[in-house]
Amino acid sequence: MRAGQTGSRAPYEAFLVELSASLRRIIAHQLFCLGLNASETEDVVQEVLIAVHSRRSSWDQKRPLLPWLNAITRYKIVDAARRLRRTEARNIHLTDNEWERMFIADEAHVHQSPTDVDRLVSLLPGKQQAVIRAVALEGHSPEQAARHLGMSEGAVRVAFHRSLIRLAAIGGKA
Amino acid sequence: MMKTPHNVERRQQTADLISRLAEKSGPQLKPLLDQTLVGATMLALVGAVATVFVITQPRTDLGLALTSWAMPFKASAMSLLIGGAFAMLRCSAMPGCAVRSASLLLPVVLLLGTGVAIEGPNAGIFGAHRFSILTCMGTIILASIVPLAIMLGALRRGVPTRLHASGAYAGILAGALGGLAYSITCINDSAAFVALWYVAAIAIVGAVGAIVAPKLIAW
Repeated sequence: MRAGQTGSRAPYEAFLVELSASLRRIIAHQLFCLGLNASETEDVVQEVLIAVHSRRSSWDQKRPLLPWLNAITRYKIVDAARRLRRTEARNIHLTDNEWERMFIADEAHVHQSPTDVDRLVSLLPGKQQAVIRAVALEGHSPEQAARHLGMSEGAVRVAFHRSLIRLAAIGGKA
Repeated sequence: MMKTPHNVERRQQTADLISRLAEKSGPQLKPLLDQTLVGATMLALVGAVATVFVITQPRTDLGLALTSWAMPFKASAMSLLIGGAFAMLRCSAMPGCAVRSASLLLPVVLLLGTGVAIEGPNAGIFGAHRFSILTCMGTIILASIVPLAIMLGALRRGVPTRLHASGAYAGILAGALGGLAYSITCINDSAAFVALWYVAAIAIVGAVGAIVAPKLIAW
């Protein structure tokens, strides 16, 4: 760590490599204990490394290094955990079967003409309309629709799910 | 963690990141934490005094009060709390520094306790008039707003890793500065009054600091 403050590249790099190995074990364990996806471990490791590097001047060489490292690591783990929980709350966890069933038309609505469907879809807000047209009407996969519309696949799935709910509400009132 | 192709790719990204960080090693401009905190505290005190003089005015018997024990007692209590809160705040801005709140707050607790023991716990606890409590707490809290903003701004020079705690210490420091400023105009000279209502107002400012800090000083 002293090497990082004085500009000795090789020892500093060796320190960061050793640090990353320890962080990987600690963070994977912490994410597991918090019930979060351990596949995010490497992201959090990188965040801690960046924090240690960018704040290295705040370490007083007369004080022990470990408490300083622990404090920064803990801060970043808590921050990451909060962010991951927010992301998880927004994701819709459906199995592939459940996704497929959403694409199959409900028999009760098979009597509707294409113009009726188009009229209903046109009542949706712009982005949801685009997603429904791409996925349900034009038959693109969520991945293809995401590329075409410049959205993430997750956002396409969320928008599709919300559109169906909205269409059901509109169709029910009609 | 299993070594899937995805994980192998992510680890390579980490290795690349380490190389880039190592290239940028070297001295940084050290953030002047101590100088920033001292300067901010002095500026915050000026802000607190200015606010108090906007809201109210110095007591008419200020000269007499200065020669009695009451004003020095209030000023000493607030100064001890300022010193303790400053030390806690400074430590909270340095990762790995263990804050010893109990020992840092002990002097003010002892002073207030001694004052209450000498005077008696019920002496003047409700103040000189019926609006004393509201006036006291309200003025201290209002006088603490500018100091709280200044101290939270100063905290960004440090590396706070427990944001709620850092916010609370900033609030206690701001509240104590507000209390010190208010003591110039406060006509309630009872030790029990100071021990209860000044401390309650400072605790409220501390709680506000703890709540707002994560939104303002997260890094």
